Amino acid sequence: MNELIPVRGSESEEVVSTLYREARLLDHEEYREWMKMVHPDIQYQAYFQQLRYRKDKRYKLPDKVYTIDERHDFLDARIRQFETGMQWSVDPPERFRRSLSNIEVFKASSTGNYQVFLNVFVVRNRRVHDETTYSYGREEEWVRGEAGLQLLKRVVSLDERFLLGKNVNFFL
Amino acid sequence: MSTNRTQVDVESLVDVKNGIQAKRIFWDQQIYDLEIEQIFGKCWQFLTHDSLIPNPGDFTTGYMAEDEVIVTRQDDGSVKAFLNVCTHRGARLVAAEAGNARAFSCTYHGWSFGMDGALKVVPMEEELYRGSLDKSKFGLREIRVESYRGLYYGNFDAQAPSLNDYLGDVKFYLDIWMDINGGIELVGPPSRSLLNCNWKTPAENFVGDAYHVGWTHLASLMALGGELAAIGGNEAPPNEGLGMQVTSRFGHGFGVLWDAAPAVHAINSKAGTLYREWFASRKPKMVEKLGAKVGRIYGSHLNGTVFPNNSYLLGTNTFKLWVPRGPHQIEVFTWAIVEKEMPAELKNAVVSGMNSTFGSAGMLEADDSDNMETMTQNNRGRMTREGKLNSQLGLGFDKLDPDFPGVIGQSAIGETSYRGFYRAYKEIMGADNWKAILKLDPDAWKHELIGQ
Repeated sequence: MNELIPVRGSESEEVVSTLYREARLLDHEEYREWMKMVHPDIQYQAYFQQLRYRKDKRYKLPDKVYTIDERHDFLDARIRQFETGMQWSVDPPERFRRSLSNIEVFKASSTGNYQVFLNVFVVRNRRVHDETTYSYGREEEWVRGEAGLQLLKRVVSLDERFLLGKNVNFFL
Repeated sequence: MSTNRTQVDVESLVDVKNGIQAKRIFWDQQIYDLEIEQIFGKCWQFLTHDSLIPNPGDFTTGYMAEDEVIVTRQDDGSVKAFLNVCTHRGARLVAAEAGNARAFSCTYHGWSFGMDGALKVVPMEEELYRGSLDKSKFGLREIRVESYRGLYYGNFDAQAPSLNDYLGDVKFYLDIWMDINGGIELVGPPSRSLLNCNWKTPAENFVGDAYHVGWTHLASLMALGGELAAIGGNEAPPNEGLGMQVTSRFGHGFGVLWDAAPAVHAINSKAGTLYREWFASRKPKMVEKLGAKVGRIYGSHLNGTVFPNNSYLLGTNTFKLWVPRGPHQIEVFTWAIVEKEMPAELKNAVVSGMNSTFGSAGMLEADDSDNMETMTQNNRGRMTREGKLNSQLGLGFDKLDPDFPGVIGQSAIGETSYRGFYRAYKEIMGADNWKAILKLDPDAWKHELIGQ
């Protein structure tokens, strides 16, 4: 059985500081440094959930739309897109501030991997007028590699039913 | 019916002969109001697909322009659509986006309607109305619904031609993707996003703009590789001018990029590999069935719009609805579109690939959004708004082709389908009713576009 054991003290601090470091690298567009924190077997997902009635059990189709369901190769392609120097949509550059909160760290008894739950609030500024905010939850798994902790799985729950910020062309 | 037709000089909005449109069409409230009446009041608008409401009682909710609608599967398997509005005091009836129900009950006073739209239950009817309420007169407002290959469209106008006649010449091509090959299905739920642009901006982009692909999407194409990377930077079109364009009488049209169906699914990705194998195995059969010239449509990339606001990318598995929210804003609905006969593994892979490129988090979708918004928002400026738009690319070179229905533009990079879109736009905006449109010479539109 895969029991989730709460993690405290310095072990928890290591996970939390890893999350902060990741957010800082992304805010500063240090994508290649960030990729070193991403496990080769990464599963990176984000979903919206369709509005359904609580009592409705008869409609069997999936209620989630995975607006992102990507692996290492596509995350790498997203970075290459920025690296071309031809990505005019981020030129002039966008500015991001990621705030992380409600961080809970657990360890899975079966794998020893860290299971993390947290909330994220992002403010994105682009062009003259566009300030858009994104608030979402993340459930993720971090695994210890040779160079520190690596992100193995991230599932982002985008709570809004429709995206006000016109796109999600950034890492969540 | 017409509240403001006299206030808008429709004739001044579109110059078909010279490929010109007035910029005001993206901005003026009066023009928008007339569009809601004339275009969205008369034309077929996408509602849902068989695959999303498979069972009796299944429903989805959505929009026809700014009207909220419910679409439901009936016990006999047919599909009906209604305004999502209680006939008592006008509250929204259904708040869910999809589900299975036996009745729709209003949250305000509990009036309850059957799946067929009939008013069934009025709480305390006997005590309060004492037999004076004729329930048969307060059923939900029903909307005319017809289907094409499992895709359901609604129309507010009883006079409108059938959906089949409305699709007209483009049906020949859509059939190649949506029928002859075993049919399609939509994968839901849709993602939803908001863009601050006029509804026609993405509709015209999808109906016929391959010109922007190599430029707007340059960075994405460089990162993804694939068949389209060759046109990155718009330095030179590849052989054969890339493909062709088609437009039809009621404004539907599309562009073809030859043999580029899997183009945005990166070559070395799972989706890319499986998809290319799929076309390699299926395309020869289609060519055998349809001949080399027509069969080549299958496995090519089609970017198109069903007039007015339903767009698709066949090959990139994208199916879109641009729902107007005033003249300067739209809500975008995006479904994945797949071939029914694809194995589940391929379906899943191309759905992910679609989302990564043209979904709300899509790399190429993000490329487009600034252009879409500035093309609308710049018209805030009075001098800008008085200007004209140019769709003259390929003007004078459009032709008829005995093998291909519709009016044909001879390169994918052209604006033939723009011109066809706005020709129909002008005609429908200015017409008294469908009867007036349909009594015209059915080939006159071709002469108008080709200039003969």
